[in-house]
Amino acid sequence: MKARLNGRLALVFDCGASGQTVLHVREQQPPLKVIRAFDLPGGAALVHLHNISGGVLGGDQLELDVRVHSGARAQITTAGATRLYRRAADRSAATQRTVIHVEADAQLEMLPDALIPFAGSAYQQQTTVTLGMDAGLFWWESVAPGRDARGEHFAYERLSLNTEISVEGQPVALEAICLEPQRRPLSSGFRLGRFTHFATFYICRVGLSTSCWAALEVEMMTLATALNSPQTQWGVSTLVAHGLIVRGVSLGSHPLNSGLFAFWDAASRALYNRPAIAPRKVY
Amino acid sequence: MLPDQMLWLHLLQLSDSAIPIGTTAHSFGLETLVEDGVLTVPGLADFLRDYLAETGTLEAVYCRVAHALQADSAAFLSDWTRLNARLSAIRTAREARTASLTLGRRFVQLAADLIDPALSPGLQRVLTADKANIHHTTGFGLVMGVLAVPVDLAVCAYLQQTLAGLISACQRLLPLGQSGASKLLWSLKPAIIEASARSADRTVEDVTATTMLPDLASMRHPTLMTRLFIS
Repeated sequence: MKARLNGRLALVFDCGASGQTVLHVREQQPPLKVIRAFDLPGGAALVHLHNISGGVLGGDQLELDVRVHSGARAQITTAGATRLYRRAADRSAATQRTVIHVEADAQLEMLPDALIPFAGSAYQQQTTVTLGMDAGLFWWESVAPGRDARGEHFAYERLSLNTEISVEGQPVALEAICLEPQRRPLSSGFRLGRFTHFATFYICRVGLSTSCWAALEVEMMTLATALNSPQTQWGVSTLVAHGLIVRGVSLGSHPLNSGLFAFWDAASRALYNRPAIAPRKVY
Repeated sequence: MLPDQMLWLHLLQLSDSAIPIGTTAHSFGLETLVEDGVLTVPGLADFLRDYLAETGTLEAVYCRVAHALQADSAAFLSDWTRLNARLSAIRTAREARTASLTLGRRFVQLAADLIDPALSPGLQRVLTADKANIHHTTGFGLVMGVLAVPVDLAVCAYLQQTLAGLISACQRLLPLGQSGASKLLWSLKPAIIEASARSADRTVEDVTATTMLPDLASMRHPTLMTRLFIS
């Protein structure tokens, strides 16, 4: 099996003297690219991740390294949905390795658009997040069933998503899912059932008490119940420590996107006493 | 080493689904799935087969690792703690996580009360160190290792015990009679063996489990209007 591109992007966010977060691009190797950072109200820096290939091709080996230094606040999103293209027979699965460090008193909002695995694609994603004391993380991920508009559902070969979030060497969230729709139907009541789209949202702030998270779980579950409908279901749970997880399944992408924003806004107000500021895109 | 007959008798008692650790109080989200109409009697066999392929395989890997831990090794407690912490992080749904920890603590406590302490220093050590962080599958694996039950047999016994617990929950949630429940459990034995065999080739680092709807169901369980189960 042949690999194709070894794309790499290394970003560092520093807290400047004025309190405004500043982006430093340490390494930038195509197809991954950032153009610039935008200042957000309150001092955060917004960055759009670009893949100049237009999507992830079979065999691509992509690496993203993000370090948010103490006191800095970063918001990272993608320029659009991440399209995972069909893997050629002689190509290995595409891989995306992401390593994120959010240092003490720093905050990262990682808000990518959906993954869209095209028919025949094979993709493996490994994300590792480490959080320092009082570090904050809002990170969501949503996955479409394929090219929804043309009715392409679950025609991909394999989608592996591995996530580890840890604090001081202790894992607080681990996820390892492997979707192989041709081998293990996703319509199973144990997997997605009648739903086609799914999303996961991690909300962390290191150091808050268990009782604080329990109270936020109740608040967010009330929101989940209000958002639930025959088309979409949401659930919320405290993690083993330092955070919450929100999960959603839906029959379409729009309810997931609007729901994710609602949870983000509610959690941001509860944890930081400020509203969520959506990236400069239309949801 | 215990004589074979005694080993079998110990295994039969500890893997009985009626063992008094509180299994019958938990549905692990099945109550929500029944309420949603996702889980029905005709679909139960397929659902449980997928349970064994996903959660069953994952838990079987952890059961195997716990089984292999040596209580007299210097790294025993740190390995044990790391194993259970990892499983707690995987079980992101709080109710299911708490249920697993509750059953694990009670199982190991019960086993420690039953087994000669001279034969089970590991059980005493984990109960003394942190009894709140013992998952059911790791606790079961540890106890089976102490009793020198062969690992494949131990894993299959664990999977059958948990499966029997879920089927028992379904009997109270669905129009599933005793005869139907027995046939179901009987018919799933090949899937138990498959899950056990699959777990032998995996590690805690590479095992995967895709469990969206049960996770979601477990998260939504506290909001049900009426509940028969704690989880």
